[in-house]
Amino acid sequence: MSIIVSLREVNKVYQTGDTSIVALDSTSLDIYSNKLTLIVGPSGSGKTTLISLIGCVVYPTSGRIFIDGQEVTGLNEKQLALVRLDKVGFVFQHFNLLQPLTALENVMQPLLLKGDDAKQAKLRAEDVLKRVNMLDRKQMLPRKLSGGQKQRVAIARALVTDAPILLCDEPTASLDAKSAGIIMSDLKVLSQEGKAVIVVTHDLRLKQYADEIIYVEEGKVSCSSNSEVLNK
Amino acid sequence: MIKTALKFMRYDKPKSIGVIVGIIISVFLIGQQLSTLFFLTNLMGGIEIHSNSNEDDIWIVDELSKNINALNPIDERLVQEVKSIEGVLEAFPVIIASAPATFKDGKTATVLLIGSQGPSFVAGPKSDVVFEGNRDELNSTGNISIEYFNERSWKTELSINETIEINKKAATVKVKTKYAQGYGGNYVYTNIDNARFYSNYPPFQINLVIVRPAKGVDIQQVIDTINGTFMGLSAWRSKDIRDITINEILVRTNTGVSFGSLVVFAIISGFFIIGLTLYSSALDRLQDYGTLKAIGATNSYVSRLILMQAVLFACIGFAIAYALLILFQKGLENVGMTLDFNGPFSLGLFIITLFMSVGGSLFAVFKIRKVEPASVF
Ligand SMILES: Nc1ncnc2c1ncn2[C@@H]1O[C@H](COP(=O)(O)OP(=O)(O)OP(=O)(O)O)[C@@H](O)[C@H]1O
Ligand SMILES: [Mg+2]
Repeated sequence: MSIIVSLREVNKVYQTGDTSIVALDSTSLDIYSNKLTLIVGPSGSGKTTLISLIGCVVYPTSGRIFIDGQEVTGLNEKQLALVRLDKVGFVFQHFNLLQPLTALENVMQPLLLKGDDAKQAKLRAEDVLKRVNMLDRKQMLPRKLSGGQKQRVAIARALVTDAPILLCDEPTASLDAKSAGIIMSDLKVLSQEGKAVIVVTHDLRLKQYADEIIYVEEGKVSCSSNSEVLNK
Repeated sequence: MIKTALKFMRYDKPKSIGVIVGIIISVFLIGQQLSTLFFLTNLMGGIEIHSNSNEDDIWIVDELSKNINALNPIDERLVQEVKSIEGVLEAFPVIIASAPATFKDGKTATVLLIGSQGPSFVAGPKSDVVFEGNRDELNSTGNISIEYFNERSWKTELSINETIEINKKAATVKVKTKYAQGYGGNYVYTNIDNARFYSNYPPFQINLVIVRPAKGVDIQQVIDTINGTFMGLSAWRSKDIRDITINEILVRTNTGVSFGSLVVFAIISGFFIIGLTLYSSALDRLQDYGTLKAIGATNSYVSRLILMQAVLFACIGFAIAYALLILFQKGLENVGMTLDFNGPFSLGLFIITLFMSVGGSLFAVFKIRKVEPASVF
């Protein structure tokens, strides 16, 4: 079990006109591989801001962020894109599959972005689709898939580069209870296999899957390991 | 990337068809206007183009004459004087003059007599436009040529050996040319004496001397000597006299401005139709481009993805427009309008297409570059 993401006194302030909104107050935290970390908190509390910082899609206003030992604060747009590609797999609430591309092509996309050759990318993508049980639908366009199926394809896309971090923003919010359960079990297995799985949610029922829980409230973060929580 | 670009294009069929139709319409319009303009400029310089003068020859005209289709008279004795200039091998007198013609069926037309001495016929016709008859016969008294496409536009039937009247004097058609057309002038080739006779040209006057310099001499030096020796005359390279003629006509008749503004209008409207359609289709795919960025695509990658689509649209639209232009060309061929889609012309048209398509796509590129990867969470 090792630290894969570290935030040191990171804060994020959004400036809109004259008003500035503190979306995330000065926060220091570590996230571990091999664990499923849940981020919970009320709407507007700063969960997405936190996950965006971890996922290197926004710059912090101040503080330092380390991903897999590398400091990412201060990298330019191109370098950050490369960090995302190499280190982070994203799973979104609304799946965000590329509509014009088939399931297979969606999963191949990160590999193509890395510059892999198409033939190898295809073999690897088929491998991962098989793992999420979607190989038989690889030629289908996203709009023909059910919600749970889309999310499985999205997870395959997040896994295909074997990135150490899996960031999931409300991965079950658009799914029914049964599909949500399947997705969460899948994510749990992935964390047990060594990935740092980070899940943002409103849904407190997901606590049963968590190893660590991060609470966010009005931009302030408090952490606890799930065993402590359950023991309380 | 090409494959991904094609998938994006195919996914949004109505807009993609919109872009392609936009390209086809503007490229077809531009190609049609430009090729017609070039056809007309060829007509304007038709006398030079269809002459047997080569590019080293020097054309001497009155210094006030800026249009080979309408030349002022000059003194015939000039020919002998020019021959004595160093570096001049030959000097040929030419008369180019218009005259009214009447055909057997009573129809009338104005013809442009172009007379130079046989058998060289330096002012034309070129042997490759001689379609019927024997050019050498034009050197005999009373013999003339007529143009196949003029005969058709006059809606009269003229066969070889038939007689027409020019300035009320009988002339015999001995040659038919094809494609020797001028700008508003119906070329009738003959020898210089016939040209003088039928146009009532004053004795001892001509209006053009074509000079053939000796091999290897400095042409510019010969031109300078002629310009320095003879007051009131101008010597031109054959290509230059064609160019000043075209310029003069384009400016005087506003042809240049009217064709030019149509082409510019087609380019601008094409640019905006293509640009706005691409922009609106990029807006539809905002989520996809944002997601691409979030999962690790750089701004340069998404920009290239859009530019690639623009290039592919340009290729498809150009191919279809070009096919339509070829059909247009074939359709006009039998009325004597020979549009020339040569290599440089086609390349230029393709570059204009790329400019409209790639230029128009920049609206979309700028929009997509501004999309925050965080926006898709
Ligand atoms: N791009 C932005 N510009 C300005 N303010 C922003 C921006 N993004 C977020 N905020 C503000 O920062 C605060 C935290 O937002 P954030 O999206 O992180 O909340 P959240 O916990 O994810 O909420 P939800 O559960 O509704 O998704 C909110 O007050 C929000 O209005
Ligand atoms: Mg959120």
